[in-house]
Amino acid sequence: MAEASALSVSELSARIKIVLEGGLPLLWVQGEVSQFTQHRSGHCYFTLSDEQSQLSCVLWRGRVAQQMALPQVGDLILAYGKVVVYERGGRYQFDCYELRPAGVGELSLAFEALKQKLAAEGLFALERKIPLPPIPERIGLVTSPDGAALQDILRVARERAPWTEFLLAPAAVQGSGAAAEIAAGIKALDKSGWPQVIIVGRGGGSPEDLWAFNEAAVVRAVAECQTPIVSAVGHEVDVTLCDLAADLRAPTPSAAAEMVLPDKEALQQRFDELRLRLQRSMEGRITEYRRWLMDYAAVLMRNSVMSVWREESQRTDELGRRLGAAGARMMESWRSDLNLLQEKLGSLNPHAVLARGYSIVRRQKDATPVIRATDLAVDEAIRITFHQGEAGARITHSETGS
Amino acid sequence: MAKKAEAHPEKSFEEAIKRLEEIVHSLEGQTPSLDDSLKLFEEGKSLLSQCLAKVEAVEQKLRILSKDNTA
Repeated sequence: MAEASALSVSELSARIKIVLEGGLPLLWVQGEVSQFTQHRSGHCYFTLSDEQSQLSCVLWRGRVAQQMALPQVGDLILAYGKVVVYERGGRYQFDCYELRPAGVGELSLAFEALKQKLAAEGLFALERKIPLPPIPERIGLVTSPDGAALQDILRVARERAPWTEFLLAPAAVQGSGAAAEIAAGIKALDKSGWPQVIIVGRGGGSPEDLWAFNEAAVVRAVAECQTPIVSAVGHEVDVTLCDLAADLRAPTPSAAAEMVLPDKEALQQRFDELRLRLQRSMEGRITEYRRWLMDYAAVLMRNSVMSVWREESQRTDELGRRLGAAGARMMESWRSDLNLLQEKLGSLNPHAVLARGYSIVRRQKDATPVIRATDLAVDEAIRITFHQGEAGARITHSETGS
Repeated sequence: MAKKAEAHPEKSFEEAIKRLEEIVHSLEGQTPSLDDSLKLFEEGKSLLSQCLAKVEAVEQKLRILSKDNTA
């Protein structure tokens, strides 16, 4: 009976494998490293333990290479991976994808160690820092598409600089693979040449959550980025290696947007100032031109010898006044006035008038211009000025004209 | 990704401000002819109205960089 329903060892092992591996997804486990050996092959085998239990773990060679530093016996660590059952030996093991120091003490030790190492490579050097453009209009973002950081930045931008265009390189900002995604996002944006500034970051979280921003891949990508890059990780108190490598460190993502983007009001004020200066300088120019015109008109008045000229001069005068009045108002309409004026001025030139066949008549005795025929006595000597040359004459008779 | 020239036909704020400073400076400083002055003034006015229209933009622009596009 019992024999009939009994499973073979292999059958049971296969079921155990299915139940264990299927029932436990990829997860983080925390424990203290109690034994640690790195095999000649490069694979690492160790035991994670706490007060009551032990867990055999393996870190395969390929993943060893990605590790920043290998743990030592006594270290409290976080391991990300999954449970794997070995049917042959009837054992199970934790297959680690990634190891991280756990606990604040260990984290800060790892942080300091990496900081020393990257500082020695010159990644935090001041001379690497690129100044930010004063009024960037195209911003690249490297952050989670679902995170608070993105929303915070967009909100600040709507208030300060709604015209700003954004290009988001979506990246996981915590968990396994986050560092690689962040680094790839920075590189892709930098390579695209589109953004004028890149903001990389995430909202607040535990030191473990922010750890991706301390990883060498991210720090190197930030340091090597040719586009000015701003780091905005967590809250004000959180400082990551990404912050140190960036051209500018912002305490939070919202603060990053405030530091990077110009203020709408300030910009408007700047344009108002420019508009005023433009208007004033053009008015100054017009006033200057008008003065020159009036001087020219005065010269003409002094030299004028015929009433038709006086009349023209008055019109010049009036045009000058109109020009002056217009100076305070619409500048565009001046162009036509001024063109007209220039034509008039051409016709006022005494030589131009004489060239058209007019002559100037003056008394012989005192050279005063003659305005009315009745001013002249019969037999009086006069001088006539033509376009070319002069002639003398005597009056034979005069009549009252209109 | 859209080509840069297509996406940004007009001057950037920085370029516009630089040009406006130049225009005002030459109107204030040396004496260009009246015709040139008017041309400069017109250019300044049109730059200003472009910039002020842009400042009033309401629609925020956000694009997502696709993963295949990273090369």
